[in-house]
Amino acid sequence: MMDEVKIIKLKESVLEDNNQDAQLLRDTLRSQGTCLLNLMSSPGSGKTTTLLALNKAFAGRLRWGVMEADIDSAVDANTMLEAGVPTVQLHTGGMCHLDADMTRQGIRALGLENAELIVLENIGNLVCPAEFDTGAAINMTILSVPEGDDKPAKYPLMYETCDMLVVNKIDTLPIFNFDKKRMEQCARARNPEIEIFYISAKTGEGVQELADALVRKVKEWNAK
Amino acid sequence: MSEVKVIQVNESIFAENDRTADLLRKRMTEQGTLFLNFMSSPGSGKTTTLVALINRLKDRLNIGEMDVDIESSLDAQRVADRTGIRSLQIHNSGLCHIDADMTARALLEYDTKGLDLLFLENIGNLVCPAEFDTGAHKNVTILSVPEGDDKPLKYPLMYQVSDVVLINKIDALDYFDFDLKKAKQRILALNPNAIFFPISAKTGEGLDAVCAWILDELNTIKSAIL
Amino acid sequence: MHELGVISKIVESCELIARQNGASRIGYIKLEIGEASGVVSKYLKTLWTMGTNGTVLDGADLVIEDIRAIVKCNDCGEEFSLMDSADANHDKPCCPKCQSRLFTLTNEDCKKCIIAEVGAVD
Repeated sequence: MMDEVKIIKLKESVLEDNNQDAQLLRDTLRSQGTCLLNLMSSPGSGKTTTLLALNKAFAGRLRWGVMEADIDSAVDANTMLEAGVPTVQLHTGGMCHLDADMTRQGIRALGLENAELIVLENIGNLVCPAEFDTGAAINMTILSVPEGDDKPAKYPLMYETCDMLVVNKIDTLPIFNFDKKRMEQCARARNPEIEIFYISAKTGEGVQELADALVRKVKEWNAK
Repeated sequence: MSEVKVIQVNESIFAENDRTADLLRKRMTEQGTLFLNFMSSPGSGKTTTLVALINRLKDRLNIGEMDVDIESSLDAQRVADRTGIRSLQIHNSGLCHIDADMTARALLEYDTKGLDLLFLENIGNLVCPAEFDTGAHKNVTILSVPEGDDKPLKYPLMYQVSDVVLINKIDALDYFDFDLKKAKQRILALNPNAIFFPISAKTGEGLDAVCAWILDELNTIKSAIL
Repeated sequence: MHELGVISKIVESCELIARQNGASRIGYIKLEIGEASGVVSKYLKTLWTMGTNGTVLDGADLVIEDIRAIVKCNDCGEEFSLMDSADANHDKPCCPKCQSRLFTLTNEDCKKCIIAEVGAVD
């Protein structure tokens, strides 16, 4: 078994290569005026339902597309397409995360000209995806109420890496012990700048505020 | 001048891990300890379920618990606080899984002699842990109602290697579109021998049946050494 | 990133093989990596040199043979590559001849990850 120090060094070297690649991709996307959002969560948090809800709330204000990498998508690429959102399914072959190179290939496959926002729906996993810079301008994670308020404490890197934290399934707050204050404290302890949104993709509660915030961020980012 | 000898190996890369796992399993059997590996995605209720099971069994059995997480010691602490048993926290350097070798090393620090039952709470991840045999007698996977009944379709390997599936949070069935029958069908398609227990770790529903299964399995282990 | 764990398993196996054959090191290794095994060749290659540094595989030539997942259409009998079809059809593979979605895997090997052979050096 490899010792701990070696594992860390190895990961650093792989991550270093990817980090450089990710920066290149970020710069390219910036010059094209495309904002890439990396959407992460554990399986079953409601990533796709949230995307569908956001699509309605965007109300045509953004030219956007989706890259589905999560093999765990309850709503497949076709359903996103039916909702009028350009979508491509990336072929991941059982990997536990995505990196900058795969992201680049996905963007090429999506082929959406003048896209203002591309959402990368990452693989359902709280461990590996957080380690790999995909070249995204915004990192977002969805935490669903049934999963519990201790996830920021247990998966710190995920919450350190994210700019936005969306708490989903708030319609189920009455039946689960989810301590909002405690969760926020944990998340902010690791990342004081993290922006937190509470939504129910199912009922629509909070979705408009999230959509408006995203539209604002995307326009700001592309204007720079 | 060095000589190169070409050796045909034709062996799975997991073969060495499998050997270590088999040895570990044998050791556990010989000492009369039932070793169970609990897996699931984050937030399915592994810790809550383990606490509930331990509290129901601790008057009858000597129980130990090891928890694998990247960094925090929350889970092991929670188990120790709520059950009074000795629990060990394993930090696995940020790897996304644990294997037999790591389990064996953890056991150097955690004396299991005299234990009837040892739980391993694996890291919350549906992808990687399924690939590595930890040396446990049985793999128990928790699927919780809010996650959806399609998880077996998307994470087939996890369900292929699961001997038991606990369907947790059934107290919340009314709030979610979770088809219990479909979930079972999908799992059985991957693993015809899988056993199911619908439970609510929160309300206690279904836990008696799980305890009965555990006692049964333990009996099998103990009979083997007589 | 479980390719790291995979490399450490390969190193362990090779240490045993070297010991059994009185070899000082392994100069060459051939791996067969199945397309449906969940192990990614690319990451294995990236991590290989550093992962084997200082071990019995230090400096070894690495050869990887990818084992393709080949399936047979249940309806018309056509054989095709699962991954090629997945790439071409939004990750929903289907028979290129009759578009059927029902097919059977012809080679279980593509689920495995095998150390095929090694070159042991005295």
